[in-house]
Amino acid sequence: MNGAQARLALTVLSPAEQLMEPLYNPTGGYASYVVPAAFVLIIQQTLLMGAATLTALGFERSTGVRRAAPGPAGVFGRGLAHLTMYAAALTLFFIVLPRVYGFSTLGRVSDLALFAVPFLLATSFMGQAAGSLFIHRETTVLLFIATTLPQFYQVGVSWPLEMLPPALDQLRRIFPSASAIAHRADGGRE
Amino acid sequence: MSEVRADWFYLWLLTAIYLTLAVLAARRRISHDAAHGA
Repeated sequence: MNGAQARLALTVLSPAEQLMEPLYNPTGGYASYVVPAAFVLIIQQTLLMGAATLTALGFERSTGVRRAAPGPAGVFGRGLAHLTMYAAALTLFFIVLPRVYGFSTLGRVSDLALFAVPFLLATSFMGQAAGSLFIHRETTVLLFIATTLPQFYQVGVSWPLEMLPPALDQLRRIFPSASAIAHRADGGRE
Repeated sequence: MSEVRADWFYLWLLTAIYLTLAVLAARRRISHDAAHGA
């Protein structure tokens, strides 16, 4: 059988030529919905560890790191500093990289900014609170590293939220990423 | 729309809670360090 006969046999088998065009998942893989959620977690966990370590360093006199003022203004000011530092990371993770990787970019930048401000501030304050709570600054890093993978399984991308026990569903909400990823999953379309 | 708005308000609620916790924890740490001569 030569090539011409093979094509003829295929034409007889299926006279209409099919063109497959995926509408909602053009990459055909899981990266387009798992990776954006992982980006949110990466931003949260690095900021938590950084804010906690910097705060704890401020209490150690030998390090020379300035301690933040304990009042609301001092803590809020440090949170604003973290917000400006992470603006570049947010731009990279949520504007540049989705376009580089060909992920969905349905959300508007203004919607993203609306969520980014409370997300980063809440994360910074959480890290600062943890940094003040523990005597040894390494404790917070170990604690936050240990929570990373359980958090990833509880944000709704790799395991359905409906299957989570109610207690775990409430527990996961203590981290700002739970609400931030829920918004990313909606794509900011509403 | 309402769920997205609820998530947004919840993030601000977390922000206020953790800001309060961070202030309280910093004050507690300062008094702890002062009491232990650190």
